Amino acid sequence: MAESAPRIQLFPRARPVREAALLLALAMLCAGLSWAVRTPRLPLKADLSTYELDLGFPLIAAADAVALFRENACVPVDSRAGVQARRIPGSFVLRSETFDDDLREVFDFLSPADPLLIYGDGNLLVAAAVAGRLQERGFTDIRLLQGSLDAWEQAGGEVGTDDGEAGHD
Amino acid sequence: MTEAAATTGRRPWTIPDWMDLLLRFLVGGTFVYASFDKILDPAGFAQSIAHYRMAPAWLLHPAAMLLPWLELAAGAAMILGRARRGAAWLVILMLVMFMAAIGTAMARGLDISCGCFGTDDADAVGLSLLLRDLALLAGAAVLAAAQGIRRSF
Repeated sequence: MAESAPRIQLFPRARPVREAALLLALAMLCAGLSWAVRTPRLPLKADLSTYELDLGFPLIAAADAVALFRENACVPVDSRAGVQARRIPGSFVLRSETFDDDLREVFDFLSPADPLLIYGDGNLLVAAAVAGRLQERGFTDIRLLQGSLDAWEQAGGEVGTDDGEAGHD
Repeated sequence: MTEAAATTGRRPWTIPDWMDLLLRFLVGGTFVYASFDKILDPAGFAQSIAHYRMAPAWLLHPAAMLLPWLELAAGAAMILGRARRGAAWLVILMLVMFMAAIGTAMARGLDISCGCFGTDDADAVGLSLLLRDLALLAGAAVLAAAQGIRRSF
């Protein structure tokens, strides 16, 4: 049997580029079809004002929050999910998923007039959700800490440890 | 010798079959999983991209519609072993883009969730996300550099 001649491949190093271009074309086709059949259809040009992050509560920078804390001018509220070992000393724990139970435990120690400083894990939407529920219960002076506990520490804020139980540290 | 090696005269760099399969499933699987929620909710994904405050108005919606399908195509191709090196290069390109977005968000002090696995993803942007993307990037780089397709489905 005659030995088959080796296949000559033009631009062999371009093969991954051709493969990537093929996959990109496939993805564009699927995206186009998906866009065409979906209702309501996303406009091709976005209106950026509809995507503004509107938390509904004022943000406070970590350095300013530390200064307020040292003047005893704010009450820290930890909104992070789960059990946390480290938090701002004196924090009340009010988590979104167990809000009603958590609030029942600390309600006697909080007044609706208290200036609350709510902090989370950096995702301000979670902190804002807790702030919204506090507002529904009459709390009026609420601010959200910009950044997580890391930002607080970097600004020189004190961090304490506790036994991880819900309630007042 | 692989076809590419026969034509270029270079010796292919090979990795064991088990490592090849493991990397393909880990990296490809992550991308396929990450695409599902975003494909189902492009408006929510557009919201996640908008929070990074990087994409101009003309790019936001096209990117929100194309990126999830690109993740799915590249991830599935990687798992199936078809167009594997092209898929690996696409994954590398996307990961570099994601890491740049996360890095600049951190540098600007933005407190936003990553949006990496869809709109319900509550992971805040931070160093752990960068490290996760770096690990995926290393896996994709090995797949892009290793020659030949040892096993496809």
